[in-house]
Amino acid sequence: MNFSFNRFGYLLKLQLAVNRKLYLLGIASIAGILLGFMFFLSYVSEFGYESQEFVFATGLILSSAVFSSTIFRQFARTDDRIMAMMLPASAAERLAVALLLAIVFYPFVFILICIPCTLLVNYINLHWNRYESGFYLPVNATALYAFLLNICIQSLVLLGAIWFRRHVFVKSAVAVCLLVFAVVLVNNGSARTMINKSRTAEFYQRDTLYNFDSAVPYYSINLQAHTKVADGMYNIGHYYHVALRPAVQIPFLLIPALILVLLWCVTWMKIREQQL
Amino acid sequence: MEFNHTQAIYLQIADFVCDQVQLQHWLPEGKVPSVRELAVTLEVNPNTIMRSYEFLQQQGIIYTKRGMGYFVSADAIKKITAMRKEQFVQEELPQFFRRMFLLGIELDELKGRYEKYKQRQIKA
Amino acid sequence: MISLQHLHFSYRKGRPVLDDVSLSLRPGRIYGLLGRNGAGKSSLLYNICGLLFPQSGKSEVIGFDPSKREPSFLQQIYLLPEVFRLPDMDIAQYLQLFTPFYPAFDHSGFHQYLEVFEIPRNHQLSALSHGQQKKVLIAFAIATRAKVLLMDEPTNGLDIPSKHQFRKVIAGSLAEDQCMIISTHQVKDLDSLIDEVIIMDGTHVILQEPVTRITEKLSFRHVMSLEETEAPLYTEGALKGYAVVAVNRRQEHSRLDMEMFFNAVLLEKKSILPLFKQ
Repeated sequence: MNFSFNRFGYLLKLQLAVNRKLYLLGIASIAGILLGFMFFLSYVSEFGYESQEFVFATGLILSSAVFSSTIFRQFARTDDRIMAMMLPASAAERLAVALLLAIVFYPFVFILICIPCTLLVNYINLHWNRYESGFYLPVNATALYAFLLNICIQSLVLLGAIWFRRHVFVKSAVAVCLLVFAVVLVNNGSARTMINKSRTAEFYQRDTLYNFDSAVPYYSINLQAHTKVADGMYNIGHYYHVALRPAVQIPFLLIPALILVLLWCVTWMKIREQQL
Repeated sequence: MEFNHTQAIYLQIADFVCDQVQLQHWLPEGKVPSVRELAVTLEVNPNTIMRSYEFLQQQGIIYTKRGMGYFVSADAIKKITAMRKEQFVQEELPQFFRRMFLLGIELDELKGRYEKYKQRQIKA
Repeated sequence: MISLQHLHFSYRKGRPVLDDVSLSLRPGRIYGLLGRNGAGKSSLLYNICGLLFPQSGKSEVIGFDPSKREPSFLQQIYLLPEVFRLPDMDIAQYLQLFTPFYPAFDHSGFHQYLEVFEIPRNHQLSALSHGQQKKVLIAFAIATRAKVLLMDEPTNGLDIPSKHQFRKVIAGSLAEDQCMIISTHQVKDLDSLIDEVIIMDGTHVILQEPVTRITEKLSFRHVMSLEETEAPLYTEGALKGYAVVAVNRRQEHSRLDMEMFFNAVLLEKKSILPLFKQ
């Protein structure tokens, strides 16, 4: 692999300089959309702590995806493509710049946009609408999950951006949805078989319905057992949370990390293999 | 410089150099423009200029000093005149005679005209 | 410097664009790549610089495998595309951003070429006409001092004074360790620059010959009647008489009329190509 920090720096500077108008415009429009959405929420209900958290997490992931899908745009336009590909930089350097922008630089910018917007809307709510709500700062567990999920999704979008030439955002979004859907299906299925295999006679009861949900990939499982009262009617029963032992948890956490690295490798290969 | 369409470019360039020497624009023992300089002025591939210079060197009209470039030979004008006279006799004269013959012109008829032309040239 | 052996390339299966192309090009020369539209000129250039990968065959360019597109290879090869778009900034900014990628970049050379091209310094690129933008890019391409300089129809879109400027700049910049390939169908603009002619026709390179060898084998003449010339291979009616391509039996030193030669080769392949196989 060919990597020079100097060229990485030149490439980063070039990317920011060539797209500076687009990026400034993007920042302005994202601030506008965020403010609009926050005011809308304040209007229909209260813009409370949880709403702020929700706007932050979804805003981060959605706007990041739009941003990431434009990172390789010089590869997509036919009149830019030749000159972009002939620029003396390696695939690794190009990927490193894209990753830095998509998963470090952009989230940072988003925080810088989102916090002032939240503050402003909170301030207005306090003075005009006369209610006070907690101010959300993205430092809790939800924020951490949002950042981690964002890394996964942006890696996928970057792959989509180099894989597809047109309608990058739409195609990547569809790919992400399909993937999430597949992960949920596989998780649910595998969780079911795991439980079914290991359940004892005591655990197993007739007329009991088991529901599995919010199974974070191979990590923890929520289980609900409802007892049948009559046809189609169940008593809300017990909730179980099945967590893996820490020694087993860590390797299971490594799997998503490995998938991430694999995604980057595929993206790197796709950049190398680009032809006109 | 406009090139004509019939003669090889390197020969036309050699001709151009000879003109410069005969007109005393470039003096004997003086430096000739470098290959690159002449290539730029004439908008021609430097390799073609190289070929012209090699040709002129073979004719003894220019010579090279190692590391300093090309220079006009001391007796360049004499050599050019001889070369061009030879060329005139070999190439242009037969055509001239052919036309004279076709038009039925006698040599005597030309003599008077040529004397007049010479006198006008000397006056000017 | 550039060596292609038995290159096969197609965009789609069963539709070859380059079919068994072999070329060997030397430094210090300017090659003219001629061919009709769609004869594969651009594809050949793209294969040389690694923008397209051949399906089979071996290519080596300045000691690299082009398809790997290593940065040290890309620093030494520059492709001037026929269509391009320059970013929205001024010339100084463009230099600041792009020259660090080319360690051998010649800044004073670049400004000299801009002067020849009569481009005002520090102009906004988007304010220049397309022809002027092309001249900026040509100046940049030459100033990279790339060992291999590929130019795809460089005089397309240039006005007549610009074509003169272009010839001056090229004539003054060719280095001994440098190889230029100029693809063109406007042969007349460039024929005083070209050392060696490469003609492509129907997916093949049918001829690669130095200009000197072409005029050794063939003579180019203007005659009043066709009886005046022996062994004519190809003729074109001109205003006064005919332009003729003939076998050069008397070792004449005629000037290569590249456009006529190109037409002659394409129409009279069977009689002309064998002359060069001897």
